[in-house]
Amino acid sequence: MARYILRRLIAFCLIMLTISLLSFWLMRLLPGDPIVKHLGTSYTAENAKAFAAQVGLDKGFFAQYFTWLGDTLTGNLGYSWNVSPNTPISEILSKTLPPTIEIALLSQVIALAISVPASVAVVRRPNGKLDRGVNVVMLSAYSIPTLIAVPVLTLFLCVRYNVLPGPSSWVSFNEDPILNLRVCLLPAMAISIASLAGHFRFLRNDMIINLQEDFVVMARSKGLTNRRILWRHVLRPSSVTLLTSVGLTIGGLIVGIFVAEVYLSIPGFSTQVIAAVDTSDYGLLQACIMTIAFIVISIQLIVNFLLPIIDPRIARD
Amino acid sequence: MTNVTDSPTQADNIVVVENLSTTFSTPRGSLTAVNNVSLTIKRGMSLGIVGESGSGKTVLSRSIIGLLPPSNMNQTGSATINGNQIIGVAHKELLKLWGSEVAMIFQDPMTALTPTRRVGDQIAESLRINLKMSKKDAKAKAIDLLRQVGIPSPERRARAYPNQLSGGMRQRVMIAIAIACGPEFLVADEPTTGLDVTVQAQVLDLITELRREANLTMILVTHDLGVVATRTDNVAVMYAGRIVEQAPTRELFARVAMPYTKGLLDSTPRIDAPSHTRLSSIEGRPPDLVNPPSGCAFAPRCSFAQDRCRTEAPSLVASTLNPNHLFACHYPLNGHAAQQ
Amino acid sequence: MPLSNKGLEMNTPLLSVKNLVVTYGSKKNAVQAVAGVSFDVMEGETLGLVGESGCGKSTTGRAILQLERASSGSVLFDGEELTSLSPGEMRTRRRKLQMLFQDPISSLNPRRKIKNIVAEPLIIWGESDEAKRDALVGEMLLEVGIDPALAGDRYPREFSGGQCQRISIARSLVANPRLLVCDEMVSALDVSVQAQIINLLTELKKKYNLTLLFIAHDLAVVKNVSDRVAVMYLGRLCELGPSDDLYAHPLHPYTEALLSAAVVPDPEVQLSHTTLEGEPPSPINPPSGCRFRTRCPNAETRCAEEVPELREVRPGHQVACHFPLSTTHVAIGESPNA
Ligand SMILES: Nc1ncnc2c1ncn2[C@@H]1O[C@H](COP(=O)(O)OP(=O)(O)O)[C@@H](O)[C@H]1O
Ligand code: SF4
Ligand code: SF4
Ligand SMILES: [Mg+2]
Repeated sequence: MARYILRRLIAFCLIMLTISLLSFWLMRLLPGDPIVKHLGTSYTAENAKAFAAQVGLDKGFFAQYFTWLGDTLTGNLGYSWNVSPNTPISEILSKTLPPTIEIALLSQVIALAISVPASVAVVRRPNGKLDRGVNVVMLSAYSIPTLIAVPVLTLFLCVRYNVLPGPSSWVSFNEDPILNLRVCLLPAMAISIASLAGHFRFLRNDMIINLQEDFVVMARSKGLTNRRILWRHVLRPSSVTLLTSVGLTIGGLIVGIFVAEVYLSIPGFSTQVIAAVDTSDYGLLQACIMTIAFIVISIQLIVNFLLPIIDPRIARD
Repeated sequence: MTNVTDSPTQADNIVVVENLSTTFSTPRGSLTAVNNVSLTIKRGMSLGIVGESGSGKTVLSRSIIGLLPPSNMNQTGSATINGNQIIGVAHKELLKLWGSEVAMIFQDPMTALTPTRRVGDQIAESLRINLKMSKKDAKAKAIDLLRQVGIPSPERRARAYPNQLSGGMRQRVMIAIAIACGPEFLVADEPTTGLDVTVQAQVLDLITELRREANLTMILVTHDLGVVATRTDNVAVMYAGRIVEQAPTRELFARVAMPYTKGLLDSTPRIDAPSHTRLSSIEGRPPDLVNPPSGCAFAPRCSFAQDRCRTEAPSLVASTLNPNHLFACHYPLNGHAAQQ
Repeated sequence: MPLSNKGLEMNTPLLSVKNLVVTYGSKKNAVQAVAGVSFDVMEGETLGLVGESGCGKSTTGRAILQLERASSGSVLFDGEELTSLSPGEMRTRRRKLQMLFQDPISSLNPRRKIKNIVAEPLIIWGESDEAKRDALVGEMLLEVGIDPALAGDRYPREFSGGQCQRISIARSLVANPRLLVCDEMVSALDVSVQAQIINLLTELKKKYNLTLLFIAHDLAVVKNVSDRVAVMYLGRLCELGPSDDLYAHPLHPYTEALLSAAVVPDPEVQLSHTTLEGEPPSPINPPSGCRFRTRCPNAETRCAEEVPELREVRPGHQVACHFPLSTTHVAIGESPNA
């Protein structure tokens, strides 16, 4: 076990290092010069030189990289140049990450809360009326882009029926947890729509396959109700693909969350990412990329760790 | 319910099957897996069902306890266990029998135990549902049962997942689940196929012992004539969905009536026969159950077949030599003849 | 009757395995699946190899064909050491050593036609004349009882297990092999089909002068096909002897236990019934001395201290046990009514 964790951690660090180096390099290929963006109208050759020297942009690539790496490892993420000039990046992250993570997690909770019971309901009669109906609904939902889902949901839930707070109602969790959750609910719902169809499909298919297994007949012969068999015997061995899919989905939610954050004026993380790309805010962008990488890889680690717990047949390599 | 009678002979028969047919609708057409089967099993007896793969052994045994999923399946005839009708009754009625009165043991304990639940929980679940035991009592009884089926350090093993146990041990766990609620009727479907001989002997001994203790009635489905010979009181031989010969075990092996049964016996290598003894094989393959041949289904492979066999299907009749020896053949062997 | 097809040619070993060791896994948790196995297979002979699952039978077979690397020991085939050949050199020898598996359907490529599957060895070994190839393929398919005209253009999934096993036999025979290693090749078949395949194999063996290593867990099948039988337990051989002698007078307690656990399709035959307790221990941590001692009813201190080597105690009958069973002991004779 200790060896397993150690091996995973080493792999984790290596991946993070590779990503940092790659992104450090790719970022500098982005169109747009950070100095021009930073100085704007006050641009002069001297000012530019002074700024470059101040932030180290006058040094060679590797010198820049290792300076950054050293700073980051000692906990110094630096300052934003252009998005919110002279604000510590750590402060930006600690403010903007929570709403985004909250929305992402909430969206997966919603997606699972719908797709799991839906799968359990339809597999009683595969390809029956209910199954086909749910399939059609899921697929139609899947094809609704977040760009449309957010305004439509806003229109219904905030404007027409007024059950959720509308755009620009953002408060942080510490200020008002209930309101905060209600604000996050709408973007989470909008984003969950995209994950729903996938989760449903994976779970439904695996459950149908597992329903053919002898252990289902065995469970029947024990006198268990169909309901109990589905929930207690079939669901867990069928959720391996589902869990993997949840893990992979979370990383891909960033674009959808950006749309929601912009539309609903939520001061989230994805807004910072897009702004940092836009303004060539190297320091902030690098920090954002590393944060995303950290989250995505951590989730993979957690998923890999959970799989053998969910299904003991899966060996921990 | 139905079919409860007070006549002693009937009451003695715990299982009564009459004209039972099970048909599946398949893309190729309707497939009759069990064709007009009638049989009875007396309380405390064991009936072996033998035949090649695909002959309908599993479908028959599962039909008798109502365990086949109802989709794309059609059943006619009747089967009763302890007077309770099985065929065509609501799922709710069957739930009352399953686990408590009838239980089943499967061939492959790896696939027949839920892979994601601890084996102790799988035993306890049955006790809690059927006997309404408390969580704590069920847990303790589960460990008792594991000990009873000969699993060393049962407290520890109860917490294991099926894949952490050996094949023989998994089969013992399955037996523990089956006997947990004290059933009266047990269906064991190839319980030792795939196990090594020494483990097979252990498992069969265990089943025999448990049956004796509880006067358990059993159907033992197997393709192994050796297992049938030593572990059953009666044998039914199945071919293409029908019972083609049925007799008390000793009687059957002493004078086989049906050419198919003889074929099976003669093609089985024997440990007590000299090395290089030539095996006589049955040429060809069992018929397609979607398009069964008219007449005797075995005729295309039977070396005794005559014209009559190809047109007229023989029905299962009692032999003049022994009224308990039934066969379905126009030209039986070993001096058997149909009782009029 | 016993040893009836022992011919003259049986005096020279075609295959000679000496102290074969096969190790799986990393250095730290290495498992000796085969832990020093030695035997000869004579030209024209069928040697049966029995034992329970996981005892190392398949690994032995695979190591003979160099499909598994031996950690040590030697495999001499027709006078040539196979373990020291390069993979390229081995490929040219493989023609003479063919292997047949338990699951014929999955061992045939599902996307190739039967005639191409059977012709494959010929193409690999450079038979470029297509007409000659077709003729040979047709001949071999007929030989195994498959009509080449009907079957040639079809795919494996259209055939039953028994037919696929026939096709596998045809494919191995076109290579004109000398040794067939059959690993559980009839285990998944129904008795009626099993008998067909056993009979076919017996005929082909005679006709093509084949030598067979027949690996199976079914004692009755092994006895039926083999001239001599080797019994394996936890990576080592326990006993090796002429089939009828070994089954009638086993010398090793494990052989006896196996035999007494076997069943006979006859309610009148009562085999001595001494059930072996427990299951084989893990090969990761085999018992010291005799590997069977943890389950052996006759085990003594010496058994824990000293590894019993295979030695001949009766003509042609070897046993690896410090205290072999008495030779007057009869486990399975001719049954009273056989
Ligand atoms: N590729 C492998 N890696 C690790 N262990 C293996 C492998 N193949 C077989 N083994 C182990 O080697 C032992 C012998 O296996 P095998 O040769 O398959 O025995 P048998 O043929 O008697 O079933 C078993 O314990 C098995 O688990
Ligand atoms: S009825 Fe005819 S074909 Fe059928 S088993 Fe009897 S002899 Fe053979
Ligand atoms: S050497 Fe000892 S332990 Fe091993 S088989 Fe012989 S008597 Fe038994
Ligand atoms: Mg094997």
